[in-house]
Amino acid sequence: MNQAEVLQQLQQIFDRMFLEPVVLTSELSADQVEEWDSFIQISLIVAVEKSFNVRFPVGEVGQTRNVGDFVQLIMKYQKS
Amino acid sequence: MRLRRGAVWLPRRGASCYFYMAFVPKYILVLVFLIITDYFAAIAIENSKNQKSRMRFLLVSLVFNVGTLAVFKYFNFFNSNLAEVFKLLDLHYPVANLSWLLPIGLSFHTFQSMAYTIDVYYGNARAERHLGYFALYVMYYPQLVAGPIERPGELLPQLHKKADFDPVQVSAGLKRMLLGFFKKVVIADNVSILVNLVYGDPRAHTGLPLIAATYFFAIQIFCDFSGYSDIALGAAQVMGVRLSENFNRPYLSRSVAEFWTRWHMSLSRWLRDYLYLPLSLSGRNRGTLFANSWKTMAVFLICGLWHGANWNFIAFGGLHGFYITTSLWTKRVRKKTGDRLGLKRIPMLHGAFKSFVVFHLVLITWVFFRSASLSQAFYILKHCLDGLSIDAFRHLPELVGEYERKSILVGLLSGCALLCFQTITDTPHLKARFSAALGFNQSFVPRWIFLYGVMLVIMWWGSGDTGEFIYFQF
Repeated sequence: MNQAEVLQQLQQIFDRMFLEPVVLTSELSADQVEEWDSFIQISLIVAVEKSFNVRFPVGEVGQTRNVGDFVQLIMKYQKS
Repeated sequence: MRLRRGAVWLPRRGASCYFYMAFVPKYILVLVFLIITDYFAAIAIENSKNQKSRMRFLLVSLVFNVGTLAVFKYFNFFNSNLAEVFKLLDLHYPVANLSWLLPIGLSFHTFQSMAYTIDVYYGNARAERHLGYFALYVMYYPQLVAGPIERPGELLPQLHKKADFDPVQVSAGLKRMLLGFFKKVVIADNVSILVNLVYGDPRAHTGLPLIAATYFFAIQIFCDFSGYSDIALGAAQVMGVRLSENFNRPYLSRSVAEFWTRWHMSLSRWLRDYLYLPLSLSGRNRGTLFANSWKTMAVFLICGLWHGANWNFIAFGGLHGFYITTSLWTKRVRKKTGDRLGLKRIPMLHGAFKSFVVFHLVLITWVFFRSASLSQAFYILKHCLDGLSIDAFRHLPELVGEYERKSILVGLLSGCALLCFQTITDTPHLKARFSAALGFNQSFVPRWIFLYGVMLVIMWWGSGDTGEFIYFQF
């Protein structure tokens, strides 16, 4: 999967999770979305792991700062 | 002006040792013991070839840090409670409490050390090979006793840098320190007069004094702790080191969860990254509402206990956990109700209402935080609305003498002045307009008059009875 495809699949997950619509961009981060807190972050990680069939190490998930980092992480673990 | 590369850590380390030993000198041994343990544990983690031994060395570090906290901070609490249980069962309990003082800043530097070994374990930081720099990371004196709790990736590289003298940074740091002293000495210590009077003997009061003292405590604790953080950040900036911001207008938060991203931010980040995240991403039912709820409660109970070993702090943390889990469960209902009432059309008013509610929810938790016991806290909550009338407002000033009345008034007016000042400095067009009107951009004279004016205010109107920073006890 390329970056655009991952972002598209990620958008579907966000649409399911968030009550207000969120348009994903690589630069988007949690502090720009009122609803995006630590609790929804956990649900997002679990949903992404299921959807992409990957498992992230806790240490690396904690280092992601925006959607772009998250996409890179998905692509890294999809390859391996 | 430059210091020799090899000598960069030495003067700072010496100053940190002197600073720490100014409190209880022998406790430097506790710090040295933890520094040496974590220094070797991190190197062992990095050198380990397999996951099992990496985990083993991480556990060594965690056990020593948490164990030190357990002995010095929590032993007496658990021991006393166990003794009470034995007494209830009419059994003899032979273990006496320890008579050790709590080493200053223990909760802060143990958390900072654990952040280091956990980050090395995750591969997010390299193990520091120079014992001098690592010791400086743990005991860097501007933030040693009350934070901010720093991450190795953010602080260690800065400590390695050569100490260049930068007049811009020195000036900015000194101004930040001045702001911190103003918050602490002029606002926090002055408004604390009423807080100490009422919370010293809450059962002597009902109604308005209880409410006023609780509002004043909200002001006191914010100005006390954020004032300390300003002094710490400013002192570090003078030496060319940028520490993490610890506050971001917390009382404007629109949810309790948001409050914790704006209040004591370095502790919240620690709890989120090193406790909540690993806890939530492990075990069964990951990410479900039920699992998120109990894990949130567990983290906030630990957050409460971090503040101090007594039931009041556990209630403080538990109440915050309860607010957040309740908001998780009611999220969809609140959204539907908001949509039906058309609150989207009045976002400013809706936001202000949410901030008002969140502030008062937090205010209830401050009652537990400040009270000497749970029974006192419940008394205050039960009797704070008794006998409220216009007369009560008239009699409020009579609680204190004339001198104290003036001090409290100075504290409140200074709080309002600070609010106006920060609103102006945070709003670019207002800042530009005021700077132009006061001639700040044209000459240094008005700027210096302003700064010396603030210093005089601190000297004249600062509380004569400056108390210790509240967070020093943690």
